[in-house]
Amino acid sequence: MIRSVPHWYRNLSIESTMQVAGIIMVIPALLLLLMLLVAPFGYIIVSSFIEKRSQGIGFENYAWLASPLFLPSFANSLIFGIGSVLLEIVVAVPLAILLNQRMYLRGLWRALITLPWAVPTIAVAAAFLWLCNPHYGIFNQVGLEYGILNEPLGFFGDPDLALLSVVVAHAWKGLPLVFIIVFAALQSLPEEQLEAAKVDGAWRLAQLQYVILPHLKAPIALAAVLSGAYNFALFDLTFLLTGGGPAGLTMTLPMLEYNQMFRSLNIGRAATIGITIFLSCMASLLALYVLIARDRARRT
Amino acid sequence: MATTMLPRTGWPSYPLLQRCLYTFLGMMVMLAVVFPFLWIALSSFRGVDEFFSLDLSGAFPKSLDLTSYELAFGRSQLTRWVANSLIIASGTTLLSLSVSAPAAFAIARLRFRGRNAGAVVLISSYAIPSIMLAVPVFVLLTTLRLTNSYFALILLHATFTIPFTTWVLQDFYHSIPPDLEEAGYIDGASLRRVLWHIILPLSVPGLLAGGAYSFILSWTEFLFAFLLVQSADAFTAPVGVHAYFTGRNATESVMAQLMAASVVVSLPSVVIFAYFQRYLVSGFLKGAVKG
Repeated sequence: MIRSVPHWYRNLSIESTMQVAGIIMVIPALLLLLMLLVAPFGYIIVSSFIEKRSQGIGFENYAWLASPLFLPSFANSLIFGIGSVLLEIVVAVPLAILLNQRMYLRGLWRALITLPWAVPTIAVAAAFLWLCNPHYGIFNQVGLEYGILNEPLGFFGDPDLALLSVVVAHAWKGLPLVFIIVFAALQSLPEEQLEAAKVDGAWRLAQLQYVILPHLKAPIALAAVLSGAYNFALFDLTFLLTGGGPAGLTMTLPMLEYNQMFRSLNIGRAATIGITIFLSCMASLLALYVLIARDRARRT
Repeated sequence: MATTMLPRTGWPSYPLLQRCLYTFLGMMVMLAVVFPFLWIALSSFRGVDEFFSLDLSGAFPKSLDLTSYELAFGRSQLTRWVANSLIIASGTTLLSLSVSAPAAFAIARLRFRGRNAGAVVLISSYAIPSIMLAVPVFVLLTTLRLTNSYFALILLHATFTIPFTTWVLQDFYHSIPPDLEEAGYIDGASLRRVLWHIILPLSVPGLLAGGAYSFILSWTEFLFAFLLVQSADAFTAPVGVHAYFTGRNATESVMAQLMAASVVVSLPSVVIFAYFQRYLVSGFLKGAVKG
């Protein structure tokens, strides 16, 4: 890459050198990405307008989104996205504040808490299926042994618990990202601000309320949107844990798209669902952008 | 009033006790978070006969029994799948580093028209959900007869590793003091010499960390590999484990092998992560968080 900078740039002034070099250095990554993204993007938009049976062009696939198949899946995806993020934040924020204190082996605890990020989804699914196994799972065994449960719980197979169980698994996998963002923000909190609060005689709780939490507001919003959008659009964990079951209760949009594509062989509908997922993610990112911009405008 | 309350802020009189308390809390939380993974690792060492015990005392393995591992390796092509994954993850890492390192440097350090646009496109394409790409990519690659190929999967994994490594690396390049480069320019070195002799050697830690993450992202990826690889010879490790040890065909007795296989599949990414996570915590997202 670097060798491909042509020799004639030596004769140019430093500004135009930077102009030329900058473009040359960015182009390979940009071209490769655009090549890999633009064609599929175009394809999916075009095919979302083609109806399967008649092969005619129209809005039939979009009209199909009003069908009883789509809305529950959309609601489930929302529940996964929002539910898991709430859980992650409730766990990650106190955790980050705790790990920001002086303690022994802090690096080790921190490393292990972020570990789920590097565990492949298949192993996450295997772990949760095994923990929650209705017959031999440790949760049921401990629960029965100590009288917390009267009868074993089915977790992923139980219509009442399946949704919650999948949300918890998503939250476990997503916890490291939220934790890292919040923790990085805490580390960047200026020491003087905390010291100033101390000099003013602020109690721990007041310090938390007036210095730490306001400082964490933007990072928490960022983490919530990133992680929420990720979980909203995540296919593999739900697929591996429940496959959408029991009785379609944990069906999500990505799962529905997969089914439309590979079971019903309906590319048009699958494409339409894909576009819905994409637009939803973009909408949440846009909301974040507006929120942050407004917050910044208010502060200055 | 405020001044009289000063000594009572916090618990300044027992710093050691406080530190021990926090350490204990940190350890407990860590145990709770790591528990699911710890548990499959523990279970994978149970003997096959004691694997399904309804008795809590059988939950902890009495000795390190490697039968599950032997069975998992012996009855499937796990070795081959791990090798496939290694090739794909390494290929993805090399590809994404070689294009995103120069791009990240240019975005962080060079002034040129189109810089912001380039940065936005490069980094925000991380937000495109894989499942949306899955449909067109499947149709395209099936038409081109490129399913089951390493190359296709490497390109697809690059769609999310390039944005990620560009992000991490441009953050890294921001953190290098500009003095060294400037000294180079003042001594009359060209941009090319500065890049080659000053920036590249300085980039090694950033490249290693960025490479580690893209390796992990590619290694743990499931969806594309699952859709585009149909022949068992070409499975990546996660897909192979899914195809052989889970699903409707798998009987409960395969559970022990699933545990062992899950540990095998997790080990490379977890070990790499364990070494590089401090870069993730210190560098990653700092730019975004400063707000």
